[in-house]
Amino acid sequence: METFSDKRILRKTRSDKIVSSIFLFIGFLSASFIVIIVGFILFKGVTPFFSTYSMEDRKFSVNFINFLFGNSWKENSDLSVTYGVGFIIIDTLIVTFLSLVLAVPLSILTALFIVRIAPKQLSIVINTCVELLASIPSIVFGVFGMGVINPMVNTIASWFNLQTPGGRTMLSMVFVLTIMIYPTITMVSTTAIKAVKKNIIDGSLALGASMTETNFKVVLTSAKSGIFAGIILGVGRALGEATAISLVCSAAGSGPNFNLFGSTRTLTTTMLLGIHETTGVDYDIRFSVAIVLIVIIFLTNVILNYIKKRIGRIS
Amino acid sequence: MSKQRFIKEIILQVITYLFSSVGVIVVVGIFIYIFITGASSLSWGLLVSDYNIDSYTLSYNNYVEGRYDYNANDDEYYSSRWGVAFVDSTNIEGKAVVKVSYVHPSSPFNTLTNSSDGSLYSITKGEIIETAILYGSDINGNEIFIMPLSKNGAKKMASQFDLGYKIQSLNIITEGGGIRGSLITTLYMILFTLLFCLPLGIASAIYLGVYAPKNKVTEILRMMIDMISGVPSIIFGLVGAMIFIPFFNVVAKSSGGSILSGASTMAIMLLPIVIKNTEEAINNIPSHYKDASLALGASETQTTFKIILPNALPGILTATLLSIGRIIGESAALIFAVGTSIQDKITPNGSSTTLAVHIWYLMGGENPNYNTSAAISIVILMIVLLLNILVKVLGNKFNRFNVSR
Repeated sequence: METFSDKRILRKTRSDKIVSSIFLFIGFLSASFIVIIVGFILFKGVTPFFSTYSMEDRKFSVNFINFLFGNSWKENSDLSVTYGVGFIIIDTLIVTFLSLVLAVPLSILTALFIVRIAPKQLSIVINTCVELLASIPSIVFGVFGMGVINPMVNTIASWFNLQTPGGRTMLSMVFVLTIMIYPTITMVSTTAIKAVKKNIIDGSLALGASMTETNFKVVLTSAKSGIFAGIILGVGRALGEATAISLVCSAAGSGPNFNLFGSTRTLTTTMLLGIHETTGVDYDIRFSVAIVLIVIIFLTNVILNYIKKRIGRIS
Repeated sequence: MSKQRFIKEIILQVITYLFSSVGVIVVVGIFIYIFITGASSLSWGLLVSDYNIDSYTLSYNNYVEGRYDYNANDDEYYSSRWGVAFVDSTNIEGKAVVKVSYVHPSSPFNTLTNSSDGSLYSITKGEIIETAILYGSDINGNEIFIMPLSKNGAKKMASQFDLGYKIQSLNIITEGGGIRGSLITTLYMILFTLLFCLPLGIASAIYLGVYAPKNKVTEILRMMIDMISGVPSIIFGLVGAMIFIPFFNVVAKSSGGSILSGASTMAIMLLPIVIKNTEEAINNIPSHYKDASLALGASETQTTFKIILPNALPGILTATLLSIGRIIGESAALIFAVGTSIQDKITPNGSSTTLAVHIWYLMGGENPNYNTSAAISIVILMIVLLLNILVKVLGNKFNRFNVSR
């Protein structure tokens, strides 16, 4: 009798061991995908710098220094082929920064309004609108950008007697990105402002500050760490966004561009342009641009998180 | 309160009201623009018709004397002998053509013969009549040929058809520009992505939520999975193009991007969503459920599959709905991992494209097609909004352990 039950226990534990090791394997497999992604992009992205390509009867390889600091990008042109992402990096950062400048005040005040100021019904309406905006796929923003924002920017440019290629300018890109990161920052800020403790607010009111002063000087300062987390998410979305802005941008061949009504290009739109290439340097170079994008996203995240920590410590 | 302080306060409040209204204005603006632009193109025909244009040569060899009754609209011209109404319209390139706007249920146009293979062909609404050759008779009763042409307009075509009693040949062109192929691809994409993603994601979540020890290694695993969600979707597209397209070219004999390569790419992209939602659902299960099951003699495996998994079902369902929304809306990754060629015959290993990429293709060309793009956007928006509402309803309904969210 005893041996029988022992056997059963033994069998159970053995099958349990098998099952749990299967789950262990799958868990590690899922986690390993990030390594595979980064590894393959790195591997493929460095090939343009170490292999020679032949184009139009001449051989060349991409120079890494020229690639990183170059200020012109020409694909398939007859005279010269140059790949320089230096100006594209600067353009990307400018576009991201400008859309942050627009989106951050909008988002913070909207979040403050939703949580602290608006009557309940209105607050539900605005919150629903923000959630709606967050759920709209990016391609729809692209259609909206082409149909509404490009003509709008073109009209604005004509007030200053400026010519734009159908509104395909940096400003249209900034507007589209602003609309896209606004809900992200707003939703995180709303959560952060909701989490502000009531006794801090009561204390401020008891000391004679008005409701508005309390909202701006006490609530926002207490929630700034959470708001900053939202900004970090927004920057990530702005840097990685591709299809929507590829529809409203025009491909600048050189730069950097500091003109609001000038044409510009970002790292992601560079990857999307000329996607029909399937071989050769024009295909491989996209992976090098992807490495640059990954590094920039990583660096901005590290820097912003450092700033967030500093801000959090002060309060 | 001093006057200066009061004015400052009023200004701040006005700014807050103004800024918060911007979000509402933008949402309303987007919806109004998309609906106004797309409403004219959105029809059942758009959803079920092919994208590529087909042309057929048809004939009808029996004599027709029929009189079919139909109340034609003002812009329609009706041939009562054939039971077909014509309208003046334009094709995709904007050229004036004559389209069929109505076919009587017992009209001979439902049983035309396809000249190339002898099969029966029925003309449907929206098809373009290019040219035709009919047998008719002149005043003296001699047999003559009547040749209606698309460029002469619908009125002339209807009157010419009324004179003829037999069709020697009829050249028609299907309308094209439909999204049926991309719609089916999107559905396939959802199916295959979930098929690849859910088992992996749920198993990983079970490992993290049930089996994993609470130590540094598990923390690193969680961090690595979180990092996947920080990677921009265009990078996933490149990875899909680099790993999965060659893989399925060998395994599934596809050539270039296919639904399978796109679905694998999406599966990796959506893993964090599935894992996070499922693990959260597992963590919300009260620990005495598991303890009771083990105390009753069930093995760990039995507990996992019969107690943990069924109770985590709401989380899995939420993850599924969120994933479907992402798959429908995703464009950047799929441009690379699937490709942009719009097809009508869909196979899992053939080239085709999803609705979102279809829009990108239509908008990115030389002549952007705003109307059709907006119409597809309406379809996408409706599905995504519906899914979001479902997620909210589910979140409230299945919250049986009364976990505050």
